[in-house]
Amino acid sequence: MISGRERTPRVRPSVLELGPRARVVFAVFYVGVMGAVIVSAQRRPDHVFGFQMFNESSTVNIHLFRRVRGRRNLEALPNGSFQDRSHGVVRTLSWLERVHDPVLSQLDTPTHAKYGLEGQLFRLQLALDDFVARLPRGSDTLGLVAVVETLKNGRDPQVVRLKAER
Amino acid sequence: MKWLSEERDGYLLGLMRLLLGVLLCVQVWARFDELTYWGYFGANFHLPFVPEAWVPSLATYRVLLAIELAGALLAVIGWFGREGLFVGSSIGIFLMLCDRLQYHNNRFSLLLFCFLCAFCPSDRSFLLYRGRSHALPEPLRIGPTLPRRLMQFQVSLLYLSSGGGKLLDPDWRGGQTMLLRFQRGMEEAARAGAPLPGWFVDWFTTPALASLGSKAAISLELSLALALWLRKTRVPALWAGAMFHLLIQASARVELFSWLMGVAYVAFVTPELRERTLRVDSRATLGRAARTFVAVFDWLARFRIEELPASETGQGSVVVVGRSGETARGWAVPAALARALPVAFLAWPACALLALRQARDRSPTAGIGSSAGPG
Repeated sequence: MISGRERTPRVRPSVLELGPRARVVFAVFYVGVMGAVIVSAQRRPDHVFGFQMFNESSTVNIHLFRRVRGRRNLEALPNGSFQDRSHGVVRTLSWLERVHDPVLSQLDTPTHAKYGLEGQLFRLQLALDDFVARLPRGSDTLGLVAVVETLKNGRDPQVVRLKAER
Repeated sequence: MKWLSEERDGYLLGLMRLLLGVLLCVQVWARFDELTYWGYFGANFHLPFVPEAWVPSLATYRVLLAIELAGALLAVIGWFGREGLFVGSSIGIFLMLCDRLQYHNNRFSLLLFCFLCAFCPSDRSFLLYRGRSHALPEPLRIGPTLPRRLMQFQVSLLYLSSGGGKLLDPDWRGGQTMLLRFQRGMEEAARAGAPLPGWFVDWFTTPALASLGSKAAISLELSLALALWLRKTRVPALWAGAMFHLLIQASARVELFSWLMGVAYVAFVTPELRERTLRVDSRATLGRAARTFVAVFDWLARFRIEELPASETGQGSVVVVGRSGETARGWAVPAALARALPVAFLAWPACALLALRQARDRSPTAGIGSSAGPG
């Protein structure tokens, strides 16, 4: 800022010091961008970048299943892990190893749906898609199904079924 | 358009830069902790807004966090502090765009305030590397105030968006969302081994109270968005906002949000310094105590401290002279001090009421009117 040898202190010119016109342009740009970000946040299921504090008190209870080749019934995955067989090789795959999100990694436990019910269901669908897309080639797992018990703000209990298939 | 070209003292902006730097340090440190605890987000399920190819590798992520931390530290000490805040906040926003799962309203807000503060003339005071002479002389501190206005705008936008969202939601308006939060709070207290008395739990979890609380919270958030801008309502709004954030801090996990809003409120403080005078009689214990108290806690540099003239010593040992030259005595003194000193600010309404009562009992010339200048 100023050197100790200088007699008179002075302001060090900063690259962030905007001229009078640039300041106004910056202010208009900032206000415009923030307005757009907040308005568009209403259309995002989880309202991110929208400053929606404590928007819901909803809960989700995620039960995970897998669809296995040659079997009619779904296989429950209580802790998210299962033995997958591909080309005769057996390996253990785990939902929790891939999904670390504090809400989506809670299985068979009612959990507060942070950022709203719609937001968590949206994220869960993408997490299922992501997990299935990473299954090894020739895997006997044909897909994952999440059966989600939802409670929107303590009311209107519903069961939502989400699935992702290869 | 006076406010477009307005120039004011940047002393308090230096304080904001330092405090935002501290908060950014804490936030980056928390991200290092999360890296240790949860692992690298890019190796797990994540949801980037930016193209996947832009998501940094683990090694790059560590470097970016380290640069963000370094920027925050520069902001704290004031050496290239604005540039440090700019780089730190830009990295933080970029990393947030790399994974929406890591989005938190409070973290995003902090990054925005840091970004805006980088464009303020916040490099003219609290330059810790300069030691005791941390502030430049007043004429050099004068700078454009438009970026500070943007910080004020950001505060209002935050309240408007949060309050508006709640207002449009029937469950929030009706109190249902708040009721569940209250119930969950009671359950968490019980689980944490601190159960509250049954009568309190019953009272606190009644739908009527939740409905009232919801309407109060929505009204407060929406009114703060405007009241902070008006000279007459600013100080009560700041007080109500401070109480609101303390309640939130006590009842919810909001990380640094309450602290952040405390720092953001500094943007609403009148930039000019020492426009009020504290006059003390140093021979009296109360006078010496007031002098020490104000010298230690006047973080916003509101007061000049002077010795009380001999001609006035008979009328009390502590006097506050306001911006317009009006004099406060009696209970109006603590009211004037509480209004301007952050450490005593929560006591301001109580002191102001006592001063008002005293003013009514006294002659029409004395009293609280003397302490009613803008903050």
